[in-house]
Amino acid sequence: MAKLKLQVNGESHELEGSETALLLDALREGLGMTGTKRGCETSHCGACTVLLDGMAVHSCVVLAARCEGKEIATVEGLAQDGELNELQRLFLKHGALQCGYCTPGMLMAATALLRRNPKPTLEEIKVGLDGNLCRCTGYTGIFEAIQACAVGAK
Amino acid sequence: MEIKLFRPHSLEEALSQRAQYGKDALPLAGGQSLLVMLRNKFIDPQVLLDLEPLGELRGLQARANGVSIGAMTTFFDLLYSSDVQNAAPILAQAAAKVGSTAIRNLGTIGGNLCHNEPGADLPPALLALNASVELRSRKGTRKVPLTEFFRGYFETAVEAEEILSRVEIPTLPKGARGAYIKHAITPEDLAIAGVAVVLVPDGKNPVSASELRIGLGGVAPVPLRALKAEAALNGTALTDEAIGAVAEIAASEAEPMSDPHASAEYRRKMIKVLMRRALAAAIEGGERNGHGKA
Amino acid sequence: MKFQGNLLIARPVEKVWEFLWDIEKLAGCIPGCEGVKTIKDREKYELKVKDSVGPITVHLDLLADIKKLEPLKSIEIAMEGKDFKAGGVRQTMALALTPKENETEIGFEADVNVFGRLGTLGYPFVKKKAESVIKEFGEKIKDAIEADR
Repeated sequence: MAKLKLQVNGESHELEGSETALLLDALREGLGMTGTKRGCETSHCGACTVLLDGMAVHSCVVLAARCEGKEIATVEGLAQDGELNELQRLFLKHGALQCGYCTPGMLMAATALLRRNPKPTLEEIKVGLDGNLCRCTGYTGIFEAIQACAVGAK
Repeated sequence: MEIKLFRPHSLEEALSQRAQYGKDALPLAGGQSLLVMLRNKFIDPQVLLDLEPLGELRGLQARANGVSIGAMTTFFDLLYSSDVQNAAPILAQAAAKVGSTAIRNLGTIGGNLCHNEPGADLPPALLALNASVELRSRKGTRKVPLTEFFRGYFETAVEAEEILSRVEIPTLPKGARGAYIKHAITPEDLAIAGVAVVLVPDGKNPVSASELRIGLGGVAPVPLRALKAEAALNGTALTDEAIGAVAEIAASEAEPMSDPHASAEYRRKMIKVLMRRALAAAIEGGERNGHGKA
Repeated sequence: MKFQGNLLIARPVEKVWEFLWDIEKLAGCIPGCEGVKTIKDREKYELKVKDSVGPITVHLDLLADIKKLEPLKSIEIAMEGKDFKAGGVRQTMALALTPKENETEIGFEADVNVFGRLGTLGYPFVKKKAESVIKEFGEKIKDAIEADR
């Protein structure tokens, strides 16, 4: 058992867990933040994607202990004061989700991509999201939403 | 029994812990492979040795005689490093094809080599680059050429008290060109077959090559150099017939396995296809890392 | 994965048959076997097997069902993992005994299926292990039976 201090979406949290707990489990079970989803548990599907110091990572293969002192961003931190952010609104507008299970991961991967590359080409979007699988939408709506977000970038 | 996480403050401390626990202490690099196994209960160590705090395992330096890469260098760092793109471009190509963005953000060259899963992308490229690795223990340092490093599925030359610290790539011969071609169903998959080629073309027509090196991945229990194929092509004109004949030899040097992704026969066939493409790409100047902006 | 092979044991068929049903002795020939429990004699058994390759260690709790039994002639066994959460192994094995004067030829055929996580993540591990386990098993049985005068 170990004590852990995690900084998530700008807020500090303290929790107890196993020394080798994974970030996904710390977020969902430790902190009750279930926006990040548990999918394949083998680092392929990306449903568990969060940002670690701005980098997209698959939280199912990150040790929670390694995240101390780093900034974790999850899907819960995108909306501000109950208002969806631009990327989220564009996802809705472009039909970028159906069952919604991959959506938190897609949003976080897209957020990381747009921060590093505010005007990505379609090819760059595909590479940026190559670790996020969607079984419903066929990806088109997702790419359109991200492209629309890029075009509207300030 | 709960697994302990040790976070050594120095490489020396980590080596002491390796010496003390041996096989029961697994070094943890990027965690992108090992933590999948941990989560799915395929590994059962007493201790995970966290290498992240160790600055001695980082750093990428271009030197007069080649490039020295710290074991904890991530795939992301490799593919965007101008030193790697200049001195060992096929390594950048291979790094760009590993897994996904998220995996490339955290996974490391040291972890990739030590894990040695069939179908990994860096090993064939590093074999074609004549790379060697530095293994550290409390007893000292030893250097192992990569051709002697891979011993079997998930088994390498790293002893129970050792930690892989650096990967060394000697300077390429003047005029050398290369390419790494990977065949997989989706970008996240390990290679069904991966072929890396380094050669020095002589500028004739049809061109022939000296210094030909071929690395194969995913088609045998370990990544290997196709030595017979190299010998057959070295110095001869690279006509379609010659390449086709040599691709056959390379396919026969492999010992592919049938698994849920592909049959052995399919893998052998893919070696031939990829060999032709890799040689053509290398002769034409090789591809860029294909990723555009960071 | 299919495996087959032959084993020639320098003992008469009765001795071989007797050995095969001495569960303690037989378990001792299975590489990585940590214990066998008889649930119902000549019908159901439970085995614990542990094997490793590199850093990977896999623990399997297997249930063996004797499907067919022809005394001194043949055995058909179906084995599968008790717990399928992380995936597991399911296999069938057929052994045929043919007396050759004072010796016995054991012909075996095995069909091993890997599924779940073990199938997707651990396939090369299982394949390599299955081959070496079957080979070692055969060698150990032969040595054990022949050592017994």
